Amino acid sequence: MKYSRRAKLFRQVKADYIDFLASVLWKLTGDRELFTEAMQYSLLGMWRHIEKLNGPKAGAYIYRIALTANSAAWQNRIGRNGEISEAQVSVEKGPDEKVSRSELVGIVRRTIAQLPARQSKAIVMRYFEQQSYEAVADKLNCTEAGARSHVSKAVATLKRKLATLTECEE
Amino acid sequence: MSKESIEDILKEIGSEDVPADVHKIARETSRDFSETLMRPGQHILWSDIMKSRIAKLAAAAVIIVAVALSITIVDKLTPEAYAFEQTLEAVKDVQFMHIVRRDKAGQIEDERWIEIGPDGFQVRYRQDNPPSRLIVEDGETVSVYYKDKNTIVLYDPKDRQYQWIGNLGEWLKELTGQSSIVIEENVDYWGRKAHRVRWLKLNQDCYVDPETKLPIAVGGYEISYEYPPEGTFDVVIPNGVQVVDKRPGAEPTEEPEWLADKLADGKVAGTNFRNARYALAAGQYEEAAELFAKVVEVQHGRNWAWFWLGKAHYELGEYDAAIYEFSKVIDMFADSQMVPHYCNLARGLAYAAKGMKDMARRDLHTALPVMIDALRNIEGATLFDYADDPLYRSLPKDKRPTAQQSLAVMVNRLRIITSQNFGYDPYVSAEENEQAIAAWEEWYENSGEIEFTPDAELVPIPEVVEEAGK
Repeated sequence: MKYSRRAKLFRQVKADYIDFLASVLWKLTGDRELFTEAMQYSLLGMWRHIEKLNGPKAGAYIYRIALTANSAAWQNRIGRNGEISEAQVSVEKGPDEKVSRSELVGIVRRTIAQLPARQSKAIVMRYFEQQSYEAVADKLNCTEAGARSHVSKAVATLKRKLATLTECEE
Repeated sequence: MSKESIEDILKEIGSEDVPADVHKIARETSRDFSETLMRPGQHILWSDIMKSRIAKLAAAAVIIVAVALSITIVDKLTPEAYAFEQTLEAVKDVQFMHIVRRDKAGQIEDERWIEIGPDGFQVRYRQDNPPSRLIVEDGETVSVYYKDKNTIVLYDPKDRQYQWIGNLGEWLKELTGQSSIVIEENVDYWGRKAHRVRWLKLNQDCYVDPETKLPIAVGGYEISYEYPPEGTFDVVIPNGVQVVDKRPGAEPTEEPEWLADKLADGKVAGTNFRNARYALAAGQYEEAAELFAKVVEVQHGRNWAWFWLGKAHYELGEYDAAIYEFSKVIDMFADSQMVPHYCNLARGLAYAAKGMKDMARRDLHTALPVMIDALRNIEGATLFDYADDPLYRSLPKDKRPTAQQSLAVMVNRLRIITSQNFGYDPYVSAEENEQAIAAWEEWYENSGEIEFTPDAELVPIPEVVEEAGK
């Protein structure tokens, strides 16, 4: 693709999706520094794969870019081994030393970044954008039952991972 | 933790409004990114783009204002959008393929029927090249009918098999996977709507039917999927035709002299072709040229023999011979409406070496867009790598050049034909090289001027294998 065409498309796609990216990435990160980094990764992803964002399939691909960017940003923070230092997360333990609600929210976000691609997409569409299962199925290119299965598996994975994490961190 | 509480947390996150300052950060990051990445004429490192001062400040100096901001996300997804997965799904039901290639006058010059087995390989096959040859494989016997000689030769499929593409299942998977990109949807293809798809490995355009999601054309071949007429795969021996049965256990039959010569020539050509490839790879150009010349003498249509014969002559400084041989290959593909870009590059270099600048420029301009495109879609470099290494076809997948190595070699090819150097460094990350790739693209669009520079500064080819195969 010609450079000027690439640049023009990039500007157009950016204008179309900047609010969408801001919304999804904020919900995935909940942290301004992580958000900025994920946004930068998303922009780079858009630039590098702009030909895939040229057409009606763009909307589906933008999810992939946003989720990959989110994972990369989290990975930079928590390291490839999945460990996160206490200093890097805003832990607000209550008087009884149990994991607080805000900490749980942080852990859920971090765990979503480590889910398989289709599961994280399903979670974002279903819970962050309140889409119907029919719409999720449509965008994941699977049946409605398949979409329910992806969401259910994702929730189960989150539950399992969170149980381990909260046990360790409590 | 209960499932319900996780769902509650997810819903809580989902109902969060995006703070106004976060939107501001998004827009500033976006502006900063564009300005940094698209700054012309400068090599900018990934670290300049990521975590830039502006972005950091924007994040750090955030003013937390609790503004209830309603966000409307416009759903831009279109259910009808074409996805490769749809083709992959559709091909699972394919049992028969009907493939036709026509000459310039519209007459069929190659017609094939293939029955595909569940493993993706052909089960039965028919190939008609009118007027002289008809091949049929019924699953147990391969018959080759030389109509001009009024002779049918029967083989065991284990000894001789004809095919269009070996593993059709694998080919379709490649065509629908990462080796392809959708160029344009719903274009006009001879009066019918189709999606135009670029098959990166061969730099060929294919067309996919929007309704059935099946490929309908590749190169000069048209493909359809109807049931074949009854008897298509039957081995039929017409009355009065001489039969030479070479199947194991068959009664020995007298072999016509022309057939004995043909088979012997084929065997010798196969051996010569193999030895010639090894000679060329070892830098024994005279021996390679001699052997490849023997191959094309008996197998005039063997394109790779012609190409590597040209390479051997090029290395020997025999540019006229090389140009002739590369031209043979280019002409051969013209009949199939295909462009062998690697061959245009080779011929362009031969013209340049002879000082024929205009001819060189014309060839190199044909190859250039594909070479530039390969910087971003590295599968597009496969045939260039294949052409440069006559042993490539014998290499196991994990011994073939990595994407990183292919990219470095492609950058070197570009440096030699353009004299441009945009600071590509094979030892830094893909993100850090993004600016160099963007600079090549920008240069190609704004100037694209060819300048043969045989002594161009070349980048080292990385030794470290980052990923196996491509």
